[in-house]
Amino acid sequence: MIRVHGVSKSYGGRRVLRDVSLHVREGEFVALTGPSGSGKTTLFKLLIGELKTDSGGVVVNGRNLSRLDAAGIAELRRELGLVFQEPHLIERLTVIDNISLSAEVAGRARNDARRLAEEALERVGLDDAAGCFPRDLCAGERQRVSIARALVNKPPIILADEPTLGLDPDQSLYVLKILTQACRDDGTSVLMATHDMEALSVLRGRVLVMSRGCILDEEGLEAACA
Amino acid sequence: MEYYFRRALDGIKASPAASGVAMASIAASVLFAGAVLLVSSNAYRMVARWAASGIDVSIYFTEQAAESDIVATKTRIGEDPAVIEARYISPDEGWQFLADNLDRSAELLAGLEPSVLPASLEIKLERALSDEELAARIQQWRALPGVSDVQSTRSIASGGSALDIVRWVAWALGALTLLVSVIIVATTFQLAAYTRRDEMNVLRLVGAVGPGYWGPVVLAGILEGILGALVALGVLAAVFQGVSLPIEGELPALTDVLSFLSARQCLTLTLWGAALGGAGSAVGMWRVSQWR
Repeated sequence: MIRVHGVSKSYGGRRVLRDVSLHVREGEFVALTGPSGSGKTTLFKLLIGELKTDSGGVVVNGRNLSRLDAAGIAELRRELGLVFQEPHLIERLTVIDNISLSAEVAGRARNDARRLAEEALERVGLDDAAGCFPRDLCAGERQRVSIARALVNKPPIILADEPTLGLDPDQSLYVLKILTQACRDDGTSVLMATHDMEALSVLRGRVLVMSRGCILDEEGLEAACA
Repeated sequence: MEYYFRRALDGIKASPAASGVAMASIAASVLFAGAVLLVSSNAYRMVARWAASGIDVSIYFTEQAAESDIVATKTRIGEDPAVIEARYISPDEGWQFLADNLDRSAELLAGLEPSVLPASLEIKLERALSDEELAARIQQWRALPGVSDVQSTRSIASGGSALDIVRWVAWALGALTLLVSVIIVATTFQLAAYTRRDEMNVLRLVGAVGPGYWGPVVLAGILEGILGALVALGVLAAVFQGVSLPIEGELPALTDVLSFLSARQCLTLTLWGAALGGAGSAVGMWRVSQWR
């Protein structure tokens, strides 16, 4: 599903990722943690084609990102469920329209998109907020709307970058529960970047630790903990 | 298509201020272009009518001119194949014509005798006559016995060259309008696109590409352009009505010359507004996408 091999990336002479490799299998939940500046978000941006690697290869859902042009990147994004630190909602659209927009962009007819959006809203427990505008919702609810948007096209992969950042513990747990359910019930692969320790403590998936642009192996972890 | 129209109208409704400014900039552009077109097409018609009416030449006789000289001059001129009409105007007829046309200022003639005016021959020549042919005739006629002066309406510019001047001025103003419009509208639409940058960013993140990404924004620009153009044409029509009626009152000869833009010209201006709106949106969106 996701394969990253020997990826390096630098900004202005500073190496942000150093020879990073990881593999996420079908239906697997992988959490990627590490301190701020360890390279999680950069890796996330490489996975969605927002940045290009300096070296190494990235394959997501069978697509080699180094060979994709802008249209190919857009096509890949339509296949993925993406959740960001910020919910990135369109303020002038209602909750249901924000979600169905993603389905329409993926080529669904309006009625079909709306039906799928209603289902997705139900999955995140916000079926009563369909007609609300994003400004009417609290931070946790807004993030749940963005997860519903990520789920609406029933993607094989969800990439979530710090989805619980800034949320209170209850909302964080709710968000994690939704992502875990998508992995368990739909067989969706989930790669979630987070440095929320409470969230990590309740997760049952694999946890990878990043530090200074590297994914630490067992030896590295021991050294980091020492 | 429904998706594009729905999102385009949503976009216009969501940012009324930005849409209003964009629409106003297009309206101003179309208003200016329309005014240039309206003035130049009416000026062209006036010059064309003047040019089509032939060349007027007046031959003035001296006070001492003998009747035989006048008759001989009229006969000789009448034999010229380029002469359409030659009419003798006596001092009395000239006086009457002046009195009739001075209207309220007729008192200026008080105390004067008709004999202060010279007798004249009013000649209409074929308009196809070249400047050189006309000049040669004027020179010959000035030398005729009893003739004091010869004057022509083509003394400043020929009808053909006047039409060329009108045409070139219209083209120059049109080109200037185009340049100014594109700059103003692109800048305005850049601001409009900037207000929609978050929405465009979300669309990009969810994988919108091609027409699905830019289509609604460009369509919104086209709709704003059409509305702006229609508003401008409405304003132009109202101003034309307000200006042309008093002019026609003062100058009845222009009654069937002055006219508003033709349906084809109105359609062209509306399409121009639509094109400006669409292109302005596309440029604005492209510029904003470069900022991220």
